Amino acid sequence: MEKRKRRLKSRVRLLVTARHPEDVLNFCAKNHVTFYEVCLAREEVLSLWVTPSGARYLIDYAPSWMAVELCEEHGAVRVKKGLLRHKRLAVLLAVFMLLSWCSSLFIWQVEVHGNEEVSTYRILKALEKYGVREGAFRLGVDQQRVTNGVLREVTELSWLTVNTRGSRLVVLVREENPPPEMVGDEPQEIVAARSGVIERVTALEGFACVSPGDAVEAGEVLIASAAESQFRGTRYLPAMGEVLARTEREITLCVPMELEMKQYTGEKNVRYALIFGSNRLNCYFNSRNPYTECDKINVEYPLRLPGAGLLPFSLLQETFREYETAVFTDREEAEALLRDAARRRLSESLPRGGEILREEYITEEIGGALFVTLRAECLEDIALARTTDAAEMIPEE
Amino acid sequence: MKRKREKTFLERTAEMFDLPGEVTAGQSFIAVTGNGRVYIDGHRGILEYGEERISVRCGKMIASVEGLKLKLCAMSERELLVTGKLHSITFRE
Repeated sequence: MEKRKRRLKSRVRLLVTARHPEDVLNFCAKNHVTFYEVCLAREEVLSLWVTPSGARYLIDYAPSWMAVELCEEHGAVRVKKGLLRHKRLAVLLAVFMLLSWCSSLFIWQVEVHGNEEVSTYRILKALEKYGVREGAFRLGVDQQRVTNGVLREVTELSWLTVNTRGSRLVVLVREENPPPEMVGDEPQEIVAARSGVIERVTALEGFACVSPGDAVEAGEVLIASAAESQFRGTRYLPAMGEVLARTEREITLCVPMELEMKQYTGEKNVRYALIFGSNRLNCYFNSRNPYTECDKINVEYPLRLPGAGLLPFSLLQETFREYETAVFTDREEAEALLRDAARRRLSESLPRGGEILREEYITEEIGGALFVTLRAECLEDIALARTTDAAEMIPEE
Repeated sequence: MKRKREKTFLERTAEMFDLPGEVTAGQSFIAVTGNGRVYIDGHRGILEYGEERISVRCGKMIASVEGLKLKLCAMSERELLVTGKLHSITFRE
């Protein structure tokens, strides 16, 4: 940026002839003429770069003992002279600058950040109700009104702010956090979510009914809610705790032996279109799909000027990539694919902190399909809270 | 025999109170960076300009910067900056 600025800065090179070149320097310094890159071009001829105003001063007020000659010009002063010579170009440039300034008064892009559960589409629709859309007048957006309105419309949002940055409108939102699940006073017991062999029992509330090494079935009570009290008899508590157990899990996945897959031929066709708001101007004639089987990839480039913000135009690049459908019968690849998928699914299904201790894969080919079965031994928390019925709580006589 | 220049009242006062001369007595402040830059604050004009020698009037004395490919980088009414390969700086009264 600095380099660009320096290049744009106007500067003029002067050749100054004087019997004593040092007098020229003293004259410049005394009259506040900034100069740089001073060198002796010839004997009694000094070459120096000055600002346009400095050059004008030296040319106009040069004393009789020095002769000033304009040698070259650089930067904006040169552009200015060029524009004065080509009036049409200057007019075009002025019109363009005016248009870009006018375009900066409108919103050409609306961005929503910070939403996870609530869709961007829903927020945009709510914003549209309050006049915030692409092409809307930027200065007409009442931020307070929009904020209050959208928060009323989308109740899942707890906070919203609207910021305008040039022609870009940035909407920052925060979603409402669901209240944490309250641990009630209702009695509950911990049962086994899966069958397994107990490794460790940590009962925070209630009584542990199992000990390490015990084999349990799914649904079996692990931590009971009943607590014996010396003074009050049996009390029923909301049981809490962690029960680590070794469990067996099995996942079977299958895939047909013959897979139809895309294979790109290398042929591609690129088209461009100009997007203006919701209007589109194609920069090509034949709008037919160029290939019978192809992928279409759209990339939109918003046009922006450095320093002038976003322009209301964007360039759309459409790339069509031709492909052929090929049948693959690679057993090894299919098997590896299934193994990966099975392991991934198993990892995802394990509760937090669970780990796979041992795994075994069985591959079978049945009726033109490949079956991969993953049998794994896992270490996981099998504790599952279950509300105790009032009937169950009554001790049998 | 050349008579030695007597110190002015301001110069003597500056010396007595250990004050910087460039502030009180109107002397020049000269800073040399390595052997490539000389910065002079409070000069009274250039007396000689060349690639091998640049002489600058600094108050009541003349500072001559000698070296190779000497260049006047920037200059204002009070300050100047000389760059190049410096050999010596001599002072004459």
